Amino acid sequence: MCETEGTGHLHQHQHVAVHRHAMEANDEIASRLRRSFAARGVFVLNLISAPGSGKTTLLEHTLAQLAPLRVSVLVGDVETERDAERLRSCGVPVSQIVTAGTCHLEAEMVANHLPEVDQRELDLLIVENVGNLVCPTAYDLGEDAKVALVSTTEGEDKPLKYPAIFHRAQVALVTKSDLAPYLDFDREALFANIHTVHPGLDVLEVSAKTGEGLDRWLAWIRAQVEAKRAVPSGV
Amino acid sequence: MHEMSLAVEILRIADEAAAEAGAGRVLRVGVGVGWLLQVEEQSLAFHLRAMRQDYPRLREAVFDLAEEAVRVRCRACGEETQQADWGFSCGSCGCRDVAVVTGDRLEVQDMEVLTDDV
Repeated sequence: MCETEGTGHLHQHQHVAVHRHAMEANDEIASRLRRSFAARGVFVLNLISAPGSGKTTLLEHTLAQLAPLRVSVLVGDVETERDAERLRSCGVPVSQIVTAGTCHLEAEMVANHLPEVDQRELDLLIVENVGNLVCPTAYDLGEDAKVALVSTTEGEDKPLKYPAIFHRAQVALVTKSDLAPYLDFDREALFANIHTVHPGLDVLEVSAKTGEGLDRWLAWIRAQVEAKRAVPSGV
Repeated sequence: MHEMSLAVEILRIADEAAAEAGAGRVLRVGVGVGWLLQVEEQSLAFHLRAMRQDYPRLREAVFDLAEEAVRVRCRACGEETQQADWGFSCGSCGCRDVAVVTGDRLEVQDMEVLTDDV
């Protein structure tokens, strides 16, 4: 179809098929990271939760017990280096990604900060995402597994209110299990809600404060690291 | 809040596709919004309207957002069925071992454009 504009110029009215994914740029960087991690046998975790669910405290206790695994950490926050300072005291390389307003980590931020913590042989990279249960969900960071954390203080219906992250997670952690006796916490309901959204998802209960359940979480990590190392790249 | 980041990517893709098609003006951009992504459509539409000013080809473009439902394929019986809510299961045999086939993408689908002078 042609039409004449007021200027007398002819313009062609066209229909253009595009079919491109809005996440394509992020996904391309994430794929590149994933290939590079696979080639080196590095297992990568992406921890996602609401603010205050205890990601950093759990990580402090996790890092203290993962030796002799060689671990590095990238931690995302909207502002401050506070989390990185806490985690550095565990004796592992840590880089703080300050997003300055952005509510999630993107693959490019991981790629840019990776050289700061990746200057030696590595078994495990842990990415602590910005505290947010919605936005980080859709962004692939090249990880092997997304871990969704929900604390006993947050309410049993969290998985129903924020289903996408529980749908995409490879494991769910229920944190602050030591507080359960002091709360009107319905453990069965939380498990049922998680499994409504993601049938069969592994759920581990942990308390960083008492150490309860940490052995299963650490065993899960060690098994994943071992499995990743055993698979030759490109297979 | 990640609707702003998504809007930037949609504008970048639409502008690139318009340039490739030799289009000087884009009239309409069709965007499929996968239900699984939990995108707030009003917020996405707001950011698209606010930021299209930065792209001369897109200044008049109308962004047509259409929700894309989740469809899953059953790993047991192979049927493909639409899902109405979380807790996906095969609409044919009830099996819960299913793979998402649509509804997990935010896609610039098509555009109506005016190509440059002919």
